[in-house]
Amino acid sequence: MPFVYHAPRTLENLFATLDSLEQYSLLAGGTDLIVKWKEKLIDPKAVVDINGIAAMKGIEECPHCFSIGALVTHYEITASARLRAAATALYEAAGEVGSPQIRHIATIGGNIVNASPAADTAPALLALNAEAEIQSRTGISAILVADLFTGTGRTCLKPGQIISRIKVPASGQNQGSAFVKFGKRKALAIAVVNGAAWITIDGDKIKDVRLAMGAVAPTPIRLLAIEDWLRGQTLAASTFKTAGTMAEKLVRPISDIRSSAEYRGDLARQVVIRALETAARRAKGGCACG
Amino acid sequence: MDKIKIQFVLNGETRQVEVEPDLLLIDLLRERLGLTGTKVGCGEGDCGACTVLLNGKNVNSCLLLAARVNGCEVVTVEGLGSYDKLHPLQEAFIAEGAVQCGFCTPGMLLSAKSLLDVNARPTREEIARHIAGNLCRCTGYTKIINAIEKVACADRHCACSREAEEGR
Ligand SMILES: Cc1cc2nc3c(=O)[nH]c(=O)nc-3n(C[C@H](O)[C@H](O)[C@H](O)COP(=O)(O)OP(=O)(O)OC[C@H]3O[C@@H](n4cnc5c(N)ncnc54)[C@H](O)[C@@H]3O)c2cc1C
Ligand code: FES
Ligand code: FES
Repeated sequence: MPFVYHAPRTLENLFATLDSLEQYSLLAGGTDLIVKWKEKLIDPKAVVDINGIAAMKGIEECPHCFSIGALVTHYEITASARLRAAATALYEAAGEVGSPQIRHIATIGGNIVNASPAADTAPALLALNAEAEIQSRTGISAILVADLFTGTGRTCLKPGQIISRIKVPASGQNQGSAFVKFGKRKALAIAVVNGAAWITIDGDKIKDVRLAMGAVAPTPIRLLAIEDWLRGQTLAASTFKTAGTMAEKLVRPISDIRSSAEYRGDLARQVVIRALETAARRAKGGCACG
Repeated sequence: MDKIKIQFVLNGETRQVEVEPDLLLIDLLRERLGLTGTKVGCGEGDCGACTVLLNGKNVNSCLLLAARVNGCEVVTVEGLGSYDKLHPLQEAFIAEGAVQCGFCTPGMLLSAKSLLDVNARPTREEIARHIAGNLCRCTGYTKIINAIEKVACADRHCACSREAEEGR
């Protein structure tokens, strides 16, 4: 069935439009939405194109954090030297999405709200402790991206609510982050397992750490038990190896078209080891991007 | 269903058209405007046969609603060169044997152009990464990368073209 098309140019007009519609789909890059529509998985009565809304665009730097518009494309993220230096895991994750063609139009907001367990920016945003700004006609609130997901393809967003921007804390001294993805090939492959680590070091000890993983559960997840164990441990290959083994046991990965459960477990271990090693190296190196 | 009036620059020429809300850019180009150089492969963003340039960047026209190009600039393979005067990339693809069945070629050319427009001297790895969204079932990619590298090297600042000039 054809749909009605709206293209509001301000947030005010957007919320007025959403209020007037019984059922609608928001259109950002459309790389998830149009595919689902073509496959007849969805049949929206109205499509509300949000690409004209300036308030949802651009990467801004705030004190110790970045405010990234929900409409910022993966390409824009990979073109930001500041994100590369101080939100390295996100920079790396955006660079792994699809292909250049997809990265040129697909957005970070769409990647999150589509809520695929394998979404590449999700583990990076979880590890970086990013917040999503939820906006509606009545106001604005913030929620951890980790708390946004309620199930595969589902978020806690209600009708009339959108994500306007994403707030990502900037890594500073003694901090570093990294993203790791295993797919069937280098481009145009949905992750079999992906993951990210953020680490703060104090001398040769792990002072603080966050670990997140995708494609091993119905939603992207934080590995809180492993984080707890890691805090205070010495920076050493054996520490990372133990964390990897814990990850393999902790995640109960599913068998599907992309991999068997056993292989996914192996990959989960490797993702944790590599992400931790790289994040720690960056934290030590002073430069987050090395 | 109300039609939407859009205006955009297509291959350097301003066009005004009325489109249905659910018309895709690929269908506007091929069916409505007769520009059949842009190909349809998978229709889902996986093959790159439908690649066009949107404001200079390579995108999949099979995933874009036509209404979204309002106010934008679109380049298709028809805007790249003409039969009388081929674009240097087209010359290089022919010279290097980078075209077999030719189905991937229009998209491949436009992805190559979007790379060279921002990076005149890409490495082979950069070229391979930038054409990763364009599948070719015939050539094995090596000759395509050779062709793109050849055009990059024709750029005056490039070391290999300097050598060629000095040797002349
Ligand atoms: C060929 C191909 C390859 C891909 N490869 C990858 C990959 O490697 N890794 C990966 O993670 N993904 C991949 N994807 C999936 C997709 O490209 C990403 O999820 C992308 O980031 C989605 O963004 P979008 O702007 O296109 O979203 P859209 O399709 O526009 O939107 C997705 C969903 O989010 C909603 N939405 C969008 N923006 C907002 C907002 N601001 N507030 C509230 N709701 C919103 C929409 O209504 C829709 O339900 C691929 C897709 C294709 C077609
Ligand atoms: S037809 Fe558009 S990517 Fe295959
Ligand atoms: S030449 Fe046949 S697909 Fe590339």
